[in-house]
Amino acid sequence: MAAFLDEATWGRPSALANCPQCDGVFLLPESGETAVPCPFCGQANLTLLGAESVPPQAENPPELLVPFSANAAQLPQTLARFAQSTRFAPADLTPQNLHGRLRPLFLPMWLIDADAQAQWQAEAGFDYQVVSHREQFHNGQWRTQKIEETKIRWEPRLGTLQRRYENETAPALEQHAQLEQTLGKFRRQEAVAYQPQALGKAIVRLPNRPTADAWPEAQEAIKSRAAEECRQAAAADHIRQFRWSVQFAGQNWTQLLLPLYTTYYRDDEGAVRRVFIHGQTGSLRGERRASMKKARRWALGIAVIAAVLFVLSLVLAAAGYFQPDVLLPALITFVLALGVGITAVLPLLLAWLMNRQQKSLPIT
Amino acid sequence: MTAFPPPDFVRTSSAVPGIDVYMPRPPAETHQAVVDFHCPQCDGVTAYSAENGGLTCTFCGYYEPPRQEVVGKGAAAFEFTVETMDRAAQGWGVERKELVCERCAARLTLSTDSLTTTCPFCGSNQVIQAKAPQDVLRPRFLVPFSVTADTCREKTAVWLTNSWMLPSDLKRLARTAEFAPIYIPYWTFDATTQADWRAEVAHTRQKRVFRSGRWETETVTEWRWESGRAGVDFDDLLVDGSQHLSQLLLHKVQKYDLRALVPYDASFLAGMQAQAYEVGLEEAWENGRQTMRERTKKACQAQATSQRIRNFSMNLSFADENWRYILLPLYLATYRYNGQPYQVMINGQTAVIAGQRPVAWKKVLLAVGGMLAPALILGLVAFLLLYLAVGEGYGGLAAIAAVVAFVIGLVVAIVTVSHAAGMDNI
Repeated sequence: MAAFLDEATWGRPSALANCPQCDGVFLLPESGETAVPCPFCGQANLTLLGAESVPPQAENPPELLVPFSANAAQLPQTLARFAQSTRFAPADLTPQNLHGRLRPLFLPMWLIDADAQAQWQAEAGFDYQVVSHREQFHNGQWRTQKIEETKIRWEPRLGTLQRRYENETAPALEQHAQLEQTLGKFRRQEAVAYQPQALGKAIVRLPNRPTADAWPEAQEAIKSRAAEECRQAAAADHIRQFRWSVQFAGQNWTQLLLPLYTTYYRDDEGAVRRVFIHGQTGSLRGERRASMKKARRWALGIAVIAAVLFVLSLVLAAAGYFQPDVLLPALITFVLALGVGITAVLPLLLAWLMNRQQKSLPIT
Repeated sequence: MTAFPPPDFVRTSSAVPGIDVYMPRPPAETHQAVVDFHCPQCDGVTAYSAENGGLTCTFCGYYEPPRQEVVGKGAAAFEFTVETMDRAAQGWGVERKELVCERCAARLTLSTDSLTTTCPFCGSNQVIQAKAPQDVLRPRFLVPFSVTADTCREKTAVWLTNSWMLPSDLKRLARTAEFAPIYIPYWTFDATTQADWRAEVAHTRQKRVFRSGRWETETVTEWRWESGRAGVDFDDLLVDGSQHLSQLLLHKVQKYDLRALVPYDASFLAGMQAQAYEVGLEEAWENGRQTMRERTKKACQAQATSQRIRNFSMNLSFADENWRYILLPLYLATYRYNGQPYQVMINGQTAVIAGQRPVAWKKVLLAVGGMLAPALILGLVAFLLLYLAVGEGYGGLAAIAAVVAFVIGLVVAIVTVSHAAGMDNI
């Protein structure tokens, strides 16, 4: 008996599956698909979880969701550019394949609400203007220019704080930082209240990071926001060296979903190579793998041409024994054969270099 | 567990609900419009004594040591904020102040630039602490008097007799002159200048040319462009804030040691006169900047590889500009000789003296006559010898000696007369 979430839980009937390779847990839309490759690592097909293994992070629906806002009409061109700009692309790396396998995926972030009670202290910075001068001496005369410069006056401030902080974010995936570093930041301010229909047919990745692990980062996020609020409270223009002694209560953890498109292709060895597209900016990051098979075919073709030219130069050289006029063409053909022969190594070298330089996506 | 908030912090307004903000307690408002000085022992009048640097009672000898420590060059300086410059431009507002004597209730009227007064009815010393347009624009530091009026008299007596050109009865005037101690307003300015300069610099070389059938040496000047960067650090450049004193005399005595600066306290002004600034901050800073830019110009020109330069240009910027408004001690005295007033100034810290002195022109004319007399005598001798054709050539020598003596006598006489003219023409 497989684990399913009925419509009452997330507003969309979903199946729970995990990836035996990367151990990621996903919510799949009920589509009847049987072999869904892991949209995250791509190394194995997802397997449905048993009914008894519903993880606690799946029990509550997310609170907020950042909708897909990348221009969907541009996606085929983006994928085509990627496929076509890959030299000696594997047979499987075609725009059609990439587009056909394109899947929307939502990544989780933790959302934390908490009451904070604190004593704080900081240095508050207040902008002020000072008058300075520049003088120019030219043709025996001085010309004075008055200028105003902005400086900051730092003053100590301290106080108490009793505030509730809502919807502070903390990574819910171990790979979150790498993901944002690779794809770019998500504009979280565009988040909207979760509506089941906004999920559509998207797969949802569930957190793999416990709230206890995420709590220190959440505290840092709350502290940053508190520092900014204290700056506003003190009517200061800047704040620095913010320190506080805080006690938290009333913590409430929910999720925020971030949009991502995933697709993949297979290289010569049949290994899955992932391609990710940022769901807001449309920027693409993928692993480029050159096909060594294709490179070898090219190399062989060039080598054959070189061999033909070489044979031709030998024939001309033999003819030159009888007719010295053809010795020069024989020499030229020989040099040409040599040049073409040397270029035969280029496809192999280029493919090898590309595969060597390309790094795997750091999200595993 | 430390107490919260700390005792030196006070609550201030907060723009965010749920957040309380505390700021350092502002310095207590200690402004007292008029401070009256009287002895706690005999209720007599107390005044600042330059001799022992504290308040003393002239009746019972009560002594109160100074309340402020020397801060010297560490005295706080202020920036040229837009707010300060705007406030400084407002000036002091009213032209005259009404004051009621705290001891005898007499009504006094005094000009707005006076910081002290002595009641003409009861003789009490009072220090008026008028509200400045901005707190930083009231005097915050001063150099206290360390030279007494007696020292001034001695100094003046020597000064009035140290030249043969002066009348011989001047010395007795030094004993009768009244030396008024007065604090003069000054602005001090700090700044760092940085200038990029460019100029054509003359380089000369010798050249041999063949002209009119012979070789000659000719000096050729070549002008080459040079450029560079120079900067000068200015520390406590003094600019006078008073308009009523002779600037020439003031410049001669205004070498003060600002390492003796103390924070302003009314007790330093008790029994003294003190003047508030008449030259405002902006005008004084304009004067200070002129000095700074000219010195920076000289520093730039000194970098040129030759002293002959032309087409000099420079771009100068100021940084780290700061200012202070301070009071510096000065004795003023005026004595009359033959119905004419003569002014004397003595630095209240270093006792450097400068002033006008009457010249005994009869003595000077006699001296000039004495200087030219040898030439006259030699001239007469030469004339006689040459006219009578005696002495076998001594007449010619005497004539040459007469001319030489005349030239020397004339030069010495001119120097003497101009020196004498400078003594009473300040």
